[in-house]
Formats: sequence, structure tokens, C-alpha cells
Amino acid sequence: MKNITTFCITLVLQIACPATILASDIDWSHLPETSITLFYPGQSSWEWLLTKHSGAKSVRKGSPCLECHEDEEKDMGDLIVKGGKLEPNPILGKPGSVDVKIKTAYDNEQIYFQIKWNDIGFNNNNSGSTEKFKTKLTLMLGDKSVKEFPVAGCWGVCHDDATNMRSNHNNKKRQLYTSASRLKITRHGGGDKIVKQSRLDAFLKNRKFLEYWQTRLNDRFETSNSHGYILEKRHQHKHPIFTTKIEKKQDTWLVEYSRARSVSQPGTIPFEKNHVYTLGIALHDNHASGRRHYVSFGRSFSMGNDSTDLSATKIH
Amino acid sequence: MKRLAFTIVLLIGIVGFLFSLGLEKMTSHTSTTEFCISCHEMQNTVYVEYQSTVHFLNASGVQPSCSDCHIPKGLLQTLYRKLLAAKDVYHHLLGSIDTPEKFEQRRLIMAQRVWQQMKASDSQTCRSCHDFKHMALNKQRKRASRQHQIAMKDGNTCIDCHKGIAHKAVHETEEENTDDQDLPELEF
Repeated sequence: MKNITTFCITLVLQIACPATILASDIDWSHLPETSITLFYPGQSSWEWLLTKHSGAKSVRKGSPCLECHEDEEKDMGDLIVKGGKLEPNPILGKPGSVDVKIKTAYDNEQIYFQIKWNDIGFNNNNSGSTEKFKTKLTLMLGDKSVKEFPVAGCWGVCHDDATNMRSNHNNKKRQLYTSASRLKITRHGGGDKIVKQSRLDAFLKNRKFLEYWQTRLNDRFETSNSHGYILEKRHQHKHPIFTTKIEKKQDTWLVEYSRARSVSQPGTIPFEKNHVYTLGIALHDNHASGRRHYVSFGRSFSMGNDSTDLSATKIH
Repeated sequence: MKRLAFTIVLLIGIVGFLFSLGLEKMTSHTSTTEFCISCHEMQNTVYVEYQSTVHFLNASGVQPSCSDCHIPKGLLQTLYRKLLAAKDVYHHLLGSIDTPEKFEQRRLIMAQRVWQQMKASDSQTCRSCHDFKHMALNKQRKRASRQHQIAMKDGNTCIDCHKGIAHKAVHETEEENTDDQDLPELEF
């Protein structure tokens, strides 16, 4: 009887809310765990990194952020979040960083990620956001096809003229985009001068975009998944092709993702062995939107290549 | 005749000695921090900023004076720097930077001049205390260690990275690129 009840509840949840589909039955306990600190980036954009950032020269040469900033995320977040050149409108009391634990695995068909973090517990009604979901966890995945991504992670598609960024003077809604999708990039971003559609089509075909998986959460387990890719803007697939399993034990959130390694849908990247990818993680808390999130530096990622920052373990 | 020659040589020697003594006194007096801050332009601005930096107060008790950073070692370089400083006296008399507002207006230009001088001398004054050869990189913080190794490899000099460490970080106010300017070329 208990089994039937559980089955019915699961079925109803799966129909009503796709985000609660169980990701997998992996025994995660034996897999290696990596700690990553996400920090508050303020208005540090790709253009800022190349000009005003004291390590601009290194970025221009293609040095990844971690080459200089390993273990500095907490200090950087604490510095930026309290306000200053990179944050003209600080949110009072917002923590500067959050630690997440990540595990990753793969088998012949699927790739899996497990992300765990302690609820930040920051509640401030004055954060100026009307986001429906309190928390959003986003994975950004790509490879060197978007050449800024292995160097700067998510900063590679975060431009100075995006919404609430420094050069967005008329409060125009503009999301993440790749530099290659613009005719010209200046210190103030690429604006709306987008390359021809045929070129965008070629970028899509040649996978010169970043794929994102986003899970949106509320404390009462209202969840939703968003899946898409970043090219000249953020494109959202009609139906997410990754699945998630979400748990919250006391103050700890746990989200497990799984996705078929190879899918034919445009706007998705295949996960191949012996290929090096980059992974960026972002976390929005307290109904934050846009740039008011925590972001990780880009981590190199592979399936079984131990020289990358994260190496998925083969299972099954 | 011999006596005359001896007297002349003696006189030249005495004059030379007195001149050298005077020169030494003059250079050492004008190289003291007290002398530098005897002008209110320095005392109320850069000296105040200097007092809150690690070069003023630190665990080891080492304190460089103004001249340790701003006047290169060696008699000729010192004299050349003193000669250039004559314009400071001229502008002091002219009142070019006699108010905090005027000082701030010209500050970036003055700072850029100092950076150029330091760059041209391969940061010689910095290196009289901080020498790559004597750095225990394994005792430095990770980032510092990495950056110093890169600097050694690329032939960078101290001032390339360490601007604004003894005074206000005025390099951060350097003029922004304009809309029309492209981003610097990527080298990867």
C-alpha cells in the first residue's frame, strides 16, 4: 500500500511539475566532491575585465581567472558586495559569497551533476526584485567554441550594457550574449548591433554558444526548470531536456541534474569523452534577478580527464 | 713657484671639499621627509595618505622616506632629480596646486609623471628594498607568488602593478575608454 501511495505521488508530481522527476539512482556517496566558492560579482563585466581590471593584460593573453584568483573568491565577494566601484547600489547585509559542493558522474548515455549548498538565509525585502522564485541555480556549460568562456567563465558572456550593468543607461532589458554575436564590442558592450541571421545560424550549427540549465526553487518546493542557450540573447527551449531531483534537508539544498550526453536538439552541446568543457555555476538568492547573484569562476570539466578542475566519474 | 702651485692646489682642494660638503648637506637635507612636507601641498595631501599605508606603519618597523621612493640612488641621478624638482618650487610660488581642489585637478598628470620615471628606471627605488632575486616565492601568498613569477618572466617592473600603494589609488581614475574605442585585441 505504501509503495502504491509513493508511486501515485511520484506520478502526480512528474505530471504536475517536471522539475521533480527523479534524476537518477546514483550512489553519490562514493564519488569525489569538490568545493567551489561562488561570489558576488557586482558590475564586473567582460569589458571591465579587459580594461579596468588590474589583471586585464593577463585576461587578454587568455589566462583563466583561477590562475590569479584561486581561493580569493570569499575576499573578493566580501569586498564587492559592500559597495564601491563595482557595486554602486549595495544590498545591505547581503553575504559576499556562498560555498557549494559539486559531484559529477557519467555513464554511456547520461551525464550527472549533484550540487549541494546551505541555504544562504538572507532575506531582505528591499532587494528591489520581484522574482517569483526565491532561489535559482544555474549551470552554464560550453567549450572553447566560445573562446571567452574557458578564460573568464560566465563573465565571458556578461557585458557592460546588460540590464543593471554600468553602461546600460536607459534601463534596457538586455541579457547575456556572446561577443561573436555582435558586430563590434566596445568598453560599453556590444549594444544591439547583431551580426546577420545567417551568421547566427552558423554559430548555432557549429555550437558556438553556451548551454544553460536552470532550476528555480521556492521553500515550499515549488520548482521549475529552464533550459536553453546563450548566443545573441538567452534562448529558452520549450521543454527542458535535463531532469532534476531536488531535496532540502534542514538548511541544505541538494539538486541533482541528469541529461542525455548526446541529443539532436539545436542549442545543446554533446558531452564527449576526451573533450574539455568549461562549467560555470550561478546562484540567485532572496528573489534576486540579473546580476545580483553569486557566480563561480569557470572550471574546466571533462569525463575522466584528471587534469581538468572537475572530472566526472564513470559509473554503471 | 712651487709654493704658488701648492697654494692653488690646496685652495682648489679646500674649495672642492667645501663644495662637496655643501652638496652633500644640501642633497641630504632636501631629501628628508621633513623637507618634503614643509610645503603644505605635500603635507595635506600625499603625506596624509602615506600615513595610512603599510609603507608608513608595519610589523617590521621599516619606513621608507619620500626620497627613498622618489629619488633614485647615485649622485648624478640624485642631482638630476633635484634639478627636475626645481619646477616644483616654481609651481609652489605660482600657486598651481596650493588648494586641495587644484591639487586633485592636476593629480593624475603628476602621478603619471612619477610612474613614467619609475618605469624608466626599472623601479630602481622600489628594488633597493624589494628585489626579485631575494624573494622567497614559497613564502608569499599564492597570488603574489604567481604574479611575481609572471613579472620575472615577462620583464615587468614593480610600478606596472603596484601603483597607488603609498598614496591614493589615483590610477583607478584614469580616463575611461570612450564608446568609439574598440576593446583591446585578445591575444588568444
